[in-house]
Amino acid sequence: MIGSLSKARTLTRWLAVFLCCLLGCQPASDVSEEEHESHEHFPPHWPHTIFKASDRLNELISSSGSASPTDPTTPYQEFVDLVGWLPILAADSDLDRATFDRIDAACIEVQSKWQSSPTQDIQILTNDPKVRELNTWLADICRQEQDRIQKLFSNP
Amino acid sequence: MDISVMLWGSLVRMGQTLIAAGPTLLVGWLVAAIFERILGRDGTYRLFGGSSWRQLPQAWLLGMLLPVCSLGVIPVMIQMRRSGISGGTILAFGLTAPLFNPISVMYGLTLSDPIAIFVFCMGSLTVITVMGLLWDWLFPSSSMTSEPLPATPYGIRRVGAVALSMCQQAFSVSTVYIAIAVAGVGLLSMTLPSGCLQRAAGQSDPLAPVTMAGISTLAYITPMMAIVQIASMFQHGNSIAASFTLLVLGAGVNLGMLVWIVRNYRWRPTLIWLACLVLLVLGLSYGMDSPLKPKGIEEADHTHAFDVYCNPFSSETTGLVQSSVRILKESLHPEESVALSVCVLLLAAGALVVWLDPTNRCMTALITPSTKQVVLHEARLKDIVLPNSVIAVVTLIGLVLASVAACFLYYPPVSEIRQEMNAIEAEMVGAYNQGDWEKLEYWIPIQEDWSNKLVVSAYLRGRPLDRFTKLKLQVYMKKLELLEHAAEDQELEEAREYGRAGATAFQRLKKATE
Repeated sequence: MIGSLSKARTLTRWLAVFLCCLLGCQPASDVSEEEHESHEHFPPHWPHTIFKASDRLNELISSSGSASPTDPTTPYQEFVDLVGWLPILAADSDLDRATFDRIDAACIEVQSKWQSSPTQDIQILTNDPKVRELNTWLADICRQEQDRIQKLFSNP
Repeated sequence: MDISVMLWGSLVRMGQTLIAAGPTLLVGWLVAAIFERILGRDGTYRLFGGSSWRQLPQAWLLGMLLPVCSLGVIPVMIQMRRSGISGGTILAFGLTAPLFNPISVMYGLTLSDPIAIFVFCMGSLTVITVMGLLWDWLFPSSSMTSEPLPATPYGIRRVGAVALSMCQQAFSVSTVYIAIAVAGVGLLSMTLPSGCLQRAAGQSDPLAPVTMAGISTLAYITPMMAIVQIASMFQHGNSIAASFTLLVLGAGVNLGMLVWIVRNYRWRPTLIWLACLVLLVLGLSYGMDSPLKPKGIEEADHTHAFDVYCNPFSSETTGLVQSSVRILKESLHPEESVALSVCVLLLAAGALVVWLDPTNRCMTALITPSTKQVVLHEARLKDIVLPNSVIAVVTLIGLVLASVAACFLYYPPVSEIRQEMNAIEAEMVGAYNQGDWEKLEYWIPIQEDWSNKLVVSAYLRGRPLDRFTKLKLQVYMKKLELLEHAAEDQELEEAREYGRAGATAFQRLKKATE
C-alpha cells in the first residue's frame, strides 16, 4: 500500500514536470486571428494563372502595385507568396517540362537566398538582380505562351 | 436527429467497419492460432523477449511487421496474456500493431512530408515505450501464470490444428470484444450528426486535439486509413496535434480493447493507463504542433476526412434502406468481400465445432501424435521434421513478404493506373455535364484514391515521380476537390467549370507520366 502510494506520488510529480516542459515549448506569441483567417479554397491574392502572376510580379517590382483594398495582405507578403506559387501555377499550364524546370529552379534559388538573409523590406527583394532576371524572362515566356494560345484559337 | 437516421446511420458505419476489418481480422486469427498451436505458450513468451529488457523493443518490432488493425490485434493479445507475457508488453504490442505496418508507413512517406512521418513514428514509439514501462512499474504482478499446452505434432495434423484453432479463435471471447468495438463505432455515429466534424481539426483551433481524443477513442481506423487521413490533414493545413492524436488513439485504441483491459486488469489500472495515455498523447501532440506545421499550405476552412466517424445521413435523407445498401455495396471491394466471406465461414465453422464438439475431442485427436504413423512416414519419405519455432518464424516472415507482395498488387503499374483514371475521368465528364451528383460523389473519391496510388506505385517501382509530374498531380487533385465541393453544393455551373479544368489538368498529368 505504501509502495503504491509512493509510486502514485512519483507519477504525479513526473506528469507535472512533463506538463511544465510542454508549456515551455509553446510559441512565445500567438499568431493573430487575422493572420490565421481561412478562406474557402484560395487566398484572396491567389492569381489563378501564371500569366496573372507574372503581371502582378511585374507591377510589384515596378512599384506601381498596391495592395487590394479588400485584401489585408501586405505587398511584401504578396510578393513572397507569388514567387512561392510560381511552380504550381507553371504546372497548371501547358508550359513544357524544360520551362517548368527553369521556373522552379529560379524560384527555389531566390527563396533559399531570402531564407539565408531574411528581410521584411520589399524594396530589397524587388531590387535583387536574380528576381529582376526571373521577372523579365518569365514575362517573355508568358507572352510567347499567350501568343501560342491565341494562334491556336484563331487558326483551329 | 431522427431515430431511424441514427439507427440506419450507425448500422452503415458498423457494416463499413466490419468490411474494412475483414482482411486484418483474418490475419489476427491466423497469428493467434500460430501462437497457440505452433509456437506454444513457452515459444510465444520467448518470442516477446521473456522477462528480459527486450520485451518492449520486440513487441514494437513484431507489432510493426504484422498487418493487423485494432480489432485483429485482440485475439493476439488474448494469446499473449495466456502465454504469461507482462501487461506492459501486451499493451505496447496492442498499441503498435494497429498503428503501423510496412504498407502504411510507405504510403505515408509518399503522401506526406517524410520528416513528419518519421517524427510521428518516433512519437508513437515514445508513447508506447513510456506506457509499457509505466504499466510494468505500476502493476508489476499483472501477468498471468501460463499453462503449458501439449506440443502439436508435425505434418498435416499441425496444419489441421492451426485451421481448427483459427475457427475456435473466430468463435471465442475475442469476437465478443470485437463486437463491442464495432458497437462503439455505431454509438459514435449515433451521437455525431452528419458532417459535424468538418471544422473539428482547424489549425488555429487549440481544442482540436482534445476533440480528436474524445472521438478517436471510440472510432475505428485501419492503419492505412489513418495514414491517408493524416496525409489529407497535412495537405489541407489541419491541426498537426489533432493528426497525431488521431493516429495513436484512433488507430490504436477502441472500445473493445478497453473492455478487454478492464476485464483482465480491472478498472483502476485501466483508468490510470488510459488517463496517462491520453495525457501523454495530448502533451506530445501540442509539443509537435508548432515545429511540424507545414509551410506554405493555406488552411482549408473545412475537411471531409472525419465524415466517416459521423452519421452518414441527415434528417433530410430519404430512402434510408436503399441508401444504406448502396453505401455498403460501394464500400465492399473484391478483396474485402473475399476476406469477409472467409471470416463468416470461420465464425460459422467455429460455432459448429463448439456445438458438435464441446469437449474439444477434435483438437485432442489432432495434437496426439500417432507414433507408428510418424515412424512409417519418416522411413518412407525421408521427411525432414521442421521444429515448431522454424515453422512459426517462416510463417511470420511469410506474412510480411505477403504484405510486400500485396503492395505490388494493390499499387498496379503507373500505365495501368493511368488507364483506370482515364476511364473514370470519362465517367465524370458525363456526370458533371448532366448534374448527376450521386455519380460524381461516387467517382471522385475513387479517382482521388487512384491519384494517391499513382505516387506510391511509381515510388515502389523505383521510379518516383519528378517534381514536374508531382505538381501536375497536385493541380489535378485540387481541381478534383473543387469539383467535389461543387457536387456537394449541387452547383451545376461551378461543377462544369471545375470539371473542365480538371479534365485539362488530367490530360497534362497523363502526358507528364507517359
